Amino acid sequence: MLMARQWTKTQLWGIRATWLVLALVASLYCVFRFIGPSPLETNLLALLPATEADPVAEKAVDTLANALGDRTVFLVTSKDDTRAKAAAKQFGAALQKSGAFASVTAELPPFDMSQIGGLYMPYRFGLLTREDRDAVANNTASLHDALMQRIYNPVRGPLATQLADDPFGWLEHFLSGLPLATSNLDLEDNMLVAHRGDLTSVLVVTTLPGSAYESQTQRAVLSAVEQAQATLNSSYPDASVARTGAVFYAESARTASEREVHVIGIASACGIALLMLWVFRSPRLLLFGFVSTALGIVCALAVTMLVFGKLHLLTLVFGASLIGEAVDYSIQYFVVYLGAQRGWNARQGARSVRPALTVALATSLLGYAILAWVPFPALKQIACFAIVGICTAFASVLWLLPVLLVKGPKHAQRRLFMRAATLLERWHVAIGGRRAWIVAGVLVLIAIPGWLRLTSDDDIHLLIQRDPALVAQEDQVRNAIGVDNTAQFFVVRGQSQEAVLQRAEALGAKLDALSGAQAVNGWQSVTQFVPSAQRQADTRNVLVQHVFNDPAALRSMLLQAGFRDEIADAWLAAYAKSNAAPLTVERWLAAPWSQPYRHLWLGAVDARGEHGHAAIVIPQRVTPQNVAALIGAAHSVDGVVFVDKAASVSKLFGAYRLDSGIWLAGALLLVLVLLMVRYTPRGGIATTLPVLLAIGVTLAAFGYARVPLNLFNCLALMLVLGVGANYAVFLREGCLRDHADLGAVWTGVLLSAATTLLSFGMLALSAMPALKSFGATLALGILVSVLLAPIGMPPGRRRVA
Amino acid sequence: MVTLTLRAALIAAMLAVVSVSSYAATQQTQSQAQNGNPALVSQVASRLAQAKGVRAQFTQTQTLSAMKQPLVSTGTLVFFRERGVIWRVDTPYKATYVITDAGVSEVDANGKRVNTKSAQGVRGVAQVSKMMRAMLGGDLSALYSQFDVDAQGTPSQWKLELKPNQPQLAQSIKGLQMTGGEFLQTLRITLANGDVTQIEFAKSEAINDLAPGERTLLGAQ
Repeated sequence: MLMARQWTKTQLWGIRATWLVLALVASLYCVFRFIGPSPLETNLLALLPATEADPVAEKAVDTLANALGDRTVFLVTSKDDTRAKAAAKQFGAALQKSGAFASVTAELPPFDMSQIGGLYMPYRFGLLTREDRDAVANNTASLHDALMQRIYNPVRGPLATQLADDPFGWLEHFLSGLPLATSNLDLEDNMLVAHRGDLTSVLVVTTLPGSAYESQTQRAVLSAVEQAQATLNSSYPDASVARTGAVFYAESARTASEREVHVIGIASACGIALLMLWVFRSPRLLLFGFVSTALGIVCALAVTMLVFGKLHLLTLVFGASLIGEAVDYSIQYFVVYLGAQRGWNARQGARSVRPALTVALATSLLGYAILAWVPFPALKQIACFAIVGICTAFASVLWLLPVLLVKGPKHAQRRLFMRAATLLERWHVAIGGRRAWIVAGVLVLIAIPGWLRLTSDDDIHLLIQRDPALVAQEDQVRNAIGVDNTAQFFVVRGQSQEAVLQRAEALGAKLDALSGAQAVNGWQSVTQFVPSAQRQADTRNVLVQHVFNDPAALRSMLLQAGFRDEIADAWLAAYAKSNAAPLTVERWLAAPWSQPYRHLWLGAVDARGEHGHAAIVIPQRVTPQNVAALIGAAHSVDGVVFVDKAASVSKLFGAYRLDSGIWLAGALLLVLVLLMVRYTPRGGIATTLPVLLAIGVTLAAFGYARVPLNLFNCLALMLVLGVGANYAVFLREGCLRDHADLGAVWTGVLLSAATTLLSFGMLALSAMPALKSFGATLALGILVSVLLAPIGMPPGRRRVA
Repeated sequence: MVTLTLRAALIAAMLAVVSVSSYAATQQTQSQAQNGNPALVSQVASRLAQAKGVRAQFTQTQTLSAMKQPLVSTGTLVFFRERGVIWRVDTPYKATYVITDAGVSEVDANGKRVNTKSAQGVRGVAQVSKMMRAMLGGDLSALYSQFDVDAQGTPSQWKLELKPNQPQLAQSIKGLQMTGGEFLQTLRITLANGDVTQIEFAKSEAINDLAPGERTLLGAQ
């Protein structure tokens, strides 16, 4: 091999300056992004993949989640009724004063219920409940009886209509059928109050001035709430406050991951620094190692933010653990550097380490490329982050470290390398060569019972886990309010508004027909507020045919019942004057009181190039028993889909978990072929064997530990392949290099593995289930791969320099 | 977890039901409940509360602006504290209404339930039903939370004047007047629109148990 020429001074400074510019650009971009609005994505729902084939259904999921994402709800509870109310007032006032909220509502301004009746009044001759319409159409109850019942019924609801406007009570029945409030809440002293046992709970509802996912909003809200709570504790020690709202979940997730980033980042950086110092005994090498790693991390951060706009918390935490992998390349280079026996030529060093690093990079890239293939936004980001990070680290080792390490080493770690070489030799004798097959056989035998015990888990909590303390408080709020609605709903689509309404009505009829365990206990739909024009016309026709067909008889019936002449005439005139124009969705949307229900109407949607409209129908009760019936109901009406995001995500997890097995097999094959091409077929098999066994042993360990396997374990196996294969490759390449100090190479491999274990091992301590699975799988897999790596060394070339 | 977030959103949607007008900036100051003669009120209440239930005859006179003349109906009433009220109209037409927390239903001459309100429409009615039972049974806390109460007379012949202190209620009810001794004798409801319903009770007697038929009506809700 020709000796490479040393660089000239100008070349040296040119290369150094280029890297400096790159580092500056990337760092400045990162600083710029972090100084502005936080680039962190704290909306946990953003981690979820798009599961719905129908883009409108996916939009509906977002609409529902966002409909009230900017609200928070507090529940002030005490055993003493008056104190609970006073405490709620004080709490509300404190929140108001803090200025952290756009609005705080503890005491409600009086609301005029007649506004609701007012909207429907002009359209009342087309709005009858199904019972009333059927009764009139089938003459099951005479009009006279209906009139009597209306007049002598001892109980009137809060949405009572005037007798003069509604002599038969049809509008009143329609109004009482509106799904306005199905809760345990009462309005007392202008406050929303729930009584349970001897407890009185009062609701305080706030809206946020900005997005719940902005860290500024989160901080302001949290400190305001903490202060208000502290004041409350001193003046009303008997009162407790439960809170819920997207802002709290987002803030808690952000704080938790920032803490994890710090712990993982600092602990692995310190651990790696100590290890490198101990092995290399050179602060200079340590510094260069970290320069290369930091370059990788900064560029990864910059590119990921540039490509994706926002940074997932998952990516951030994972990024902290990438330190351990990025530092591997420089370690390999330092090993060559310290192992150099004669005059040090930096370019020559880089050239001699390049094959090993290239093979290692290729296997790692393969693992991450498969991650990028999976349609989960978080995994795509992690893959992008890792690919940019390790590519930069690789490039910096080949083209930056040589210009920094121009002079040869002052001292080599002779003693350490010698000891490592002896250890390697003994270990290779023990497990290498022909014995490798015995080792493999024994390991497989031990692993089989573990494999048989493997179970799986595809729950959505893997990606999203919420602070249990907050979940408990949310349950408290939900129990007090008494709603048990779910995230499962129907999306109804149609070419026109009318088509949507008619389909929603057809769906409603199907849902009403469900009985027993399949019953849904009611549903919320825009059609309860605005029946389709078709239905309004039908209703009007029923009245035309069965009630107003004989106005004279109708009038005399009213007069006989005791109505004043002018009242009866006015009512008949109101019917005659009311034209057939139906109540429209627009009219309803324009009424201020419809605001809390507007999410039921998705409005105009464009999907697959088609223009149309869509609405949501929410069943009250969804259980494992009735889900199948609900899906069936959706299938039986055109344009209706049943959306169950959590179930869809879990299904996707399961499907990809199974698929990932095939990908892993494919990737293994690819690595095998790659290594067989480079190291002859026999050598290729020997080099692949360690990582293959590592994957097997890791799987068996999960079986023995009875930890159910999830998608993230399976994807981590991909990385075990990508990273674990490197160790055998480094050793094999070391054997192929002339004059290589195998002891030094082995030291480097062990050091690489130790740093990777350190950082991925820290990941196993993460609170995020996805990262925990990643970390545990990687740590175990890498440990086994490095221990078995000497199997990959060629026989008979156990040279110790 | 998605489930939970969506739920939270929906709860908030539901909350807004009642806070529909929270966009209005003005916050009404709540007038302090002023209860005259609380001692007498509590005496009356404890007296009414002694009976587990009451059976009585009633004469209801409704003076409604839409009607030419007052509408008079008569019938019997069974009030059972734990269950609810059976309101049986004999004249001018026969009908039976069963009022419980679950809602109001009408029972025809054959004992068949007709026109039961759907679960979704029940809530408002249940609230009214609760109030009605509170009135008949002398449940003070329920009354005080909704009304300012003023009492006159003696425990054996008293008169209560109730004015709604909740604006929501005041939109429909102007006031209630009750007179009685051992039992409630008259109840006069004046609505905000001027309509008046006067109910006179006669032959009131305390009951400790329900007849089997009545039990079925009240229990099978």
